[in-house]
Amino acid sequence: MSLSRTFTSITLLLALLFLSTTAIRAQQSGTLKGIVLTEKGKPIAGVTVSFNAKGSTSIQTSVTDEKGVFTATRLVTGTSYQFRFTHIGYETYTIAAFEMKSGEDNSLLVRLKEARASLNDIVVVGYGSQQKKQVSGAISSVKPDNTDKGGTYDALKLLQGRASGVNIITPAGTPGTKPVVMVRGVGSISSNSSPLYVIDGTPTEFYPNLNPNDVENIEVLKDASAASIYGSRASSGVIIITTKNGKPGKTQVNVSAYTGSGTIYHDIKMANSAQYTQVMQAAVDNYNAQKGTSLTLYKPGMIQETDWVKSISRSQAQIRSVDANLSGGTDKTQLYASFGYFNQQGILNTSNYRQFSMRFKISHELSRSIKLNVNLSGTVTPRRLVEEDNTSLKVLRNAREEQPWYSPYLADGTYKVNGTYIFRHNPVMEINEEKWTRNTFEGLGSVSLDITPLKGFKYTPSISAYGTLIDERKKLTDQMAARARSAGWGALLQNRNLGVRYVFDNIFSYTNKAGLLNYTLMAGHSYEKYTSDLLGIYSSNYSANAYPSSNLDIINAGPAVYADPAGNGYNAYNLESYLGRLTLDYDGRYLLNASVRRDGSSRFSKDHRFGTFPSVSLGWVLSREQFWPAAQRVISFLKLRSSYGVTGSLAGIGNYAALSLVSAGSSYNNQGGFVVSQDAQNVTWEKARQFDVGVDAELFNGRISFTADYFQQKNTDLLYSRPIYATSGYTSIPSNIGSLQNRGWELAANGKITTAAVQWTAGANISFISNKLLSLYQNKDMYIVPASGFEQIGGQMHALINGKPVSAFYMLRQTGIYQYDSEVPQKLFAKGVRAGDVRYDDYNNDGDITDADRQYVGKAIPDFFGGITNNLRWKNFECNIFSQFSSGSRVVASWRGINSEGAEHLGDALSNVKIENGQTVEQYYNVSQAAANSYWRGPGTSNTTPRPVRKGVFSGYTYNYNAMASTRFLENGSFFRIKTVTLAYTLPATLTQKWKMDNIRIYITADNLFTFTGYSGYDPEQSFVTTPGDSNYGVDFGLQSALRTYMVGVNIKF
Amino acid sequence: MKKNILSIAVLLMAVCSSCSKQLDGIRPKDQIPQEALNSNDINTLRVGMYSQMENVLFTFWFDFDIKAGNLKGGPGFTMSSDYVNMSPSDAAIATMWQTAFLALNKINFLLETIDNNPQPASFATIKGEALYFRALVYYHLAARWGGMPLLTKRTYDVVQRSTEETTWDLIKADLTSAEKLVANYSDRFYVSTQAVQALAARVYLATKDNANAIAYADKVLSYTTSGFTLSADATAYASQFVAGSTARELIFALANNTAANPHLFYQQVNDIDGSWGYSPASDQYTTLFADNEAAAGDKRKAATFSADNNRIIKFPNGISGQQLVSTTSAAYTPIVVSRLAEIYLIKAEAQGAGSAAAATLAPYFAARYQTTPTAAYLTGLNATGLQSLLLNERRREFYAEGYWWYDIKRTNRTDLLPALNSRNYLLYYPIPQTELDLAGYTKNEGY
Repeated sequence: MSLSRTFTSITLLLALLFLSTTAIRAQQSGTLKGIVLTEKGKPIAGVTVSFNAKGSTSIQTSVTDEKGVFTATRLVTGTSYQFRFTHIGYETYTIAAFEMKSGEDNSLLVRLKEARASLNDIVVVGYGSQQKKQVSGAISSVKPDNTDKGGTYDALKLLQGRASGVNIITPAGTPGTKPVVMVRGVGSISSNSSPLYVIDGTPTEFYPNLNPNDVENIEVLKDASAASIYGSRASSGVIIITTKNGKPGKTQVNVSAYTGSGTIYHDIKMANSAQYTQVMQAAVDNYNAQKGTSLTLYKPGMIQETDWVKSISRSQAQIRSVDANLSGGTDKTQLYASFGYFNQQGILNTSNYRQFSMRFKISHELSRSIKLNVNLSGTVTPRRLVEEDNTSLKVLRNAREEQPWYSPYLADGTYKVNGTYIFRHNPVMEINEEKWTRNTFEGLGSVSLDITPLKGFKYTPSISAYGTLIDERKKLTDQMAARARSAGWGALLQNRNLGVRYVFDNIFSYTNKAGLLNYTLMAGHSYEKYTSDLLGIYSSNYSANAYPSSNLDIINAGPAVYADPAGNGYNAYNLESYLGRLTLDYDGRYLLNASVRRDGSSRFSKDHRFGTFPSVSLGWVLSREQFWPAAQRVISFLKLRSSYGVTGSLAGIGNYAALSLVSAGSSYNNQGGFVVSQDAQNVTWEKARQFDVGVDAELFNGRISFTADYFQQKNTDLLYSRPIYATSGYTSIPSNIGSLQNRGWELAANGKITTAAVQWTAGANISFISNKLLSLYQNKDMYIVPASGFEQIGGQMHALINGKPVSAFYMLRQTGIYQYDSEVPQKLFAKGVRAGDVRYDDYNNDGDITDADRQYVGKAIPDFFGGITNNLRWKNFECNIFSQFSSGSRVVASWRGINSEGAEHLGDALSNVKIENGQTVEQYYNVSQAAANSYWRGPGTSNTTPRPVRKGVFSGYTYNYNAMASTRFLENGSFFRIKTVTLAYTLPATLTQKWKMDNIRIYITADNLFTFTGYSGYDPEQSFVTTPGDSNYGVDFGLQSALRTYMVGVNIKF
Repeated sequence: MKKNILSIAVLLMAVCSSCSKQLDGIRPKDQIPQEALNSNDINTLRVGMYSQMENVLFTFWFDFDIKAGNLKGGPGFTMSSDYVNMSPSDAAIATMWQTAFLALNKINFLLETIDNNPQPASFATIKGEALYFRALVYYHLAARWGGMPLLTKRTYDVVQRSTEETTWDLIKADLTSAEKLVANYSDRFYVSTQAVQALAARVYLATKDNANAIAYADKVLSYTTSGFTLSADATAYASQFVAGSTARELIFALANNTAANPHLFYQQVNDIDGSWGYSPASDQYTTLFADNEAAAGDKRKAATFSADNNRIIKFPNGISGQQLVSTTSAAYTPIVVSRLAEIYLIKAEAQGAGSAAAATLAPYFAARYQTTPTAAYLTGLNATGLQSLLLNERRREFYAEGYWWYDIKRTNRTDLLPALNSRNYLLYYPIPQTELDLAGYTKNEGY
């Protein structure tokens, strides 16, 4: 805050000056006295006044004093002079020809216009702020109030397509899903490369639930010089969220509200009974023909045509929001208060997200030199969840898989239970008979003082705390046949996770100037501690009627209460830091920022605890140089900047990695036991060294602004849970294993295209970021990332390969479909492969298809991405169109059926089920309409989708030959999305004033209006996990879709 | 006012100047540093070892039934028709390998902790238990993979595979040491001398050292102090698998009675919701307990199968009609390691055709059948005839207890596994691909 504070105090302190004409009297010697004022008549100190005689290259300068007064001496009377007045925050003013008159009072009164250009915006840089003009690092900035939020209630998502270098995906359409944010590429292979978030000065690894209407500004510190002031946690960038402050003056109230509803925009249609029967008959026939058997397809006597997905879905999902905030105050005291409410339904029945938030901020000058700032906010976020990603209960997948010829209910109205008729847990039952809530309570508060005993000196002690309480409950009724009697499940489960983070900061800064040199020194100390305490218990369940009734809602209603093994634990770490920064600004022309942070973390052993993270950046404002043609109006501002710095990451290190431990929890026969759980590993920070070079330019006095950056970052000592042979006693151990590199270009431009009756402003940005793994442990070229979790998600699909991007897909490559038996290689024919089966690339040319034929086939991260904003204004009408795009990513459509289960298994996925007479028959999972319509039926019919064939014709493969992880399921994830389109009308001022209002605006918005993509699933942004090094990154399991939402809303200001 | 606030600020700074010490104060709450372990904790480590062994044995439990045609896919599931087939990328095979070696590490940690204690002698019994468990884990590994990396202490270095023979030698050596260290039987849920001897008999039979197999079987059979007894009827047979079983046939079992980490047998074969992994293979359901020329009225049938051909009721699920005897907790089925029946069958097999084996088997048949074979019939069997009879008995006796595949392998009676279809390389499990990649082990042939 130091610079902005200096800046404001200059304008405030010198408010009462006036100009006496007698004071400005031209002397015989040819001296000119002048004064420079703001448009409102306040003097401006520090204005650079440069002047030269016409035709002369000799330039003299002067600077205004505190009263705004400057003196120009030795001016030759009768000569024409050119004067130029420049100051940060004001438009440059030039007097082309001023002639010194002899014998008169030669005086000048100049009024400087405050520059409206974005370059004068204040940028929060971490433990301080700067004017954008003075920044020499790479920082993207987004102001939520200036963006069209559409149906988005998460401020972070507003960065998508608006901040260059920042890639954001929302991995599922489940309401409340947090976006995955990646700043300048993949910075790590073991963590999700998530940036550090700093909310009003409080750092946190997790982005809290915040009211987006409270957010004044979001700054993304992208390069190492900007981020390194956050040291050991900054290598994936830092995102600084600054909330709104009260402003002196009239109390301003803003009320806004909207309501709308959403639907799926690209559905996955499943086959109806007729299509399903036809596919499965073909599968059985093909099996019989190949195996010489005479299996028959079972068909029920009565078809109860059912769209299972529809039976668990809403026709429309509602969204609504109401928000009110108040801002006002006096010169001494300012306050801001707000309340927000948001409610969003998911498309699946009962799925719901709500958020209630409040904020109260006050600043009060206790004395001339002490100011108190208090910032309190609270958020309550109740969610209703459904079993979507549980690999057994997986509601939506189950609904897609159930046979379309059965209804969810038996004749007596009770649920069909899996094993009889249907083979999956009845999805209707799963949704109706389980109530799963997760309520998050968050409080974020800070108290700080700004102590300014001397001019330019500021000491800011602050305490902030961020607490979260997550209360999660699952309640099953006795009708929840899937789990109501299962060991390990209670009728009622309750988990509580209490997380507390507190931060003590002591920051000193001193700003002053020596001649044309402005300098700021900042030094500080910070201590931070985080603890998380989990407690989870569950009741007895309905087995043997242990839990008395579904109507009860208390955990001890049954005979026993159990500890939830997954719900208990304790995590803690702390961090102590020393930090400092030097900012030099010579005449607004030469800029230097140098910073250093020294972090000590509890995650390391005592001897290796501290790490140092330095950085330096330089800026050169060419447009302020004397040689810059003063009169030319094309490039009004041009700055070159370059930076280098070191940052770190702690994310991949466990809290206790430095300790050799034995763990409790292994009990036997009612005695508690210990087992050895880990040996101390000698690991160190991940380090990132980043070089950045950039240019900021403004054309036509700010009408067009342009920023370009090139960066290169090398991350070394990558942390990874390195797989190790099991004879070590572990399957993986934390290690520093290798290095990777990210490099890229970021371009952004904004401009006022027309300023006539129709005002058109537009902005666009694009980022090209490439990522490459440079080295792996033990000089290996490649490490195959083993399957994690449920095999039917897709099994093994990724590898870490030197020279290839992290998130590389490593699988078989489909080259087509065998059209004739004669084309099938002998070894494959022997394994049962026939015409109609998938033709894979025989990478090692051994005539067989095995794991050895897997190869690099693409990556999950895009080559380039960006966004385009268009804003049209005509009279009181306004139209905003915001588009996003991303290109070059691949996504695995695992919902289509890698390994076996899924919408395109074509006869491989079957189960034994009982039917009415107690007989057991085989029945098949349903398939998608797309697969039912496109499968291979003879030579020339398809070169992509194989023949249907019942499970069991292939030998030598763990799963179905046709459904192995291959490019058959790898799709292009590129898209161009018209994200939001808003039409707004502002009521005429005459009308508004009659109602004693300042402003009333009504609008309609379409969110996710059109998505142009070749992807066959709901949306190409889906990803089952969010860590680029994970085996399920970029894998679409088929969770709830994002929705196209239409909304109507109003903003009122009074 | 101003002074007060300044003093608060100074105080704040003072508070923070002592922060560095705080960095040392972060400790987990459910773990303690290894160096903090003392003599009192050795018994706690022993309890942890037993708990780990529950995981290991349950991981292996149904494997030999699945791979040898005893089971088929349960309701809501299917099983590959080529159930004997295996590939290095099979996740289940990697899990078995890894679970075993992770447990070995914990066993060796306990052994090292005892050896480093100033008075290791006072923990002799625990040391004996650890050696027994190490042998038991290696038995399961050697039966599947043959020669294994042999770990008698913990190491982060790669340890290459030893020969199959050396692996069995380590098992025997550990059992020989253990036998001297542990105490006589007093509680079926803890390792005893007799448990060690029962495993030794099994190991010697597997390695065709019939003399030692008979010798160790006799040690168990002649132990009369607490007297092991065969279950004499279906109810008693079924009662071996109820929570906290007091069956006197059990020589050693793991208690499996921890709420936080139960190993649910019934969930695999006899679940209480609508679907479960395995059902009896159709032919086994109809013929396993059929009468034959030698014997009739197999008492085990009622304890193993019910009218529902999808269920194996050997493992009670707490629901009347889906179990023969009730249990206080369906979740707490003991994980049986050695039963007396096995000792009779081992001894007879080691004795070979003749009257000695017939005499050995008499009490066994009496306990299992309404109509038992005559001594003359048994004595009259030739070597193959006796082997076939004993294998058939083992299949009945240990159905769904994880014996069948290895019984076929160790006797080389691949005729009993037609699905093998001459692919005899499948009698050695593939080394998991991930382990091959990481440690560069010699592969087993054929994969």
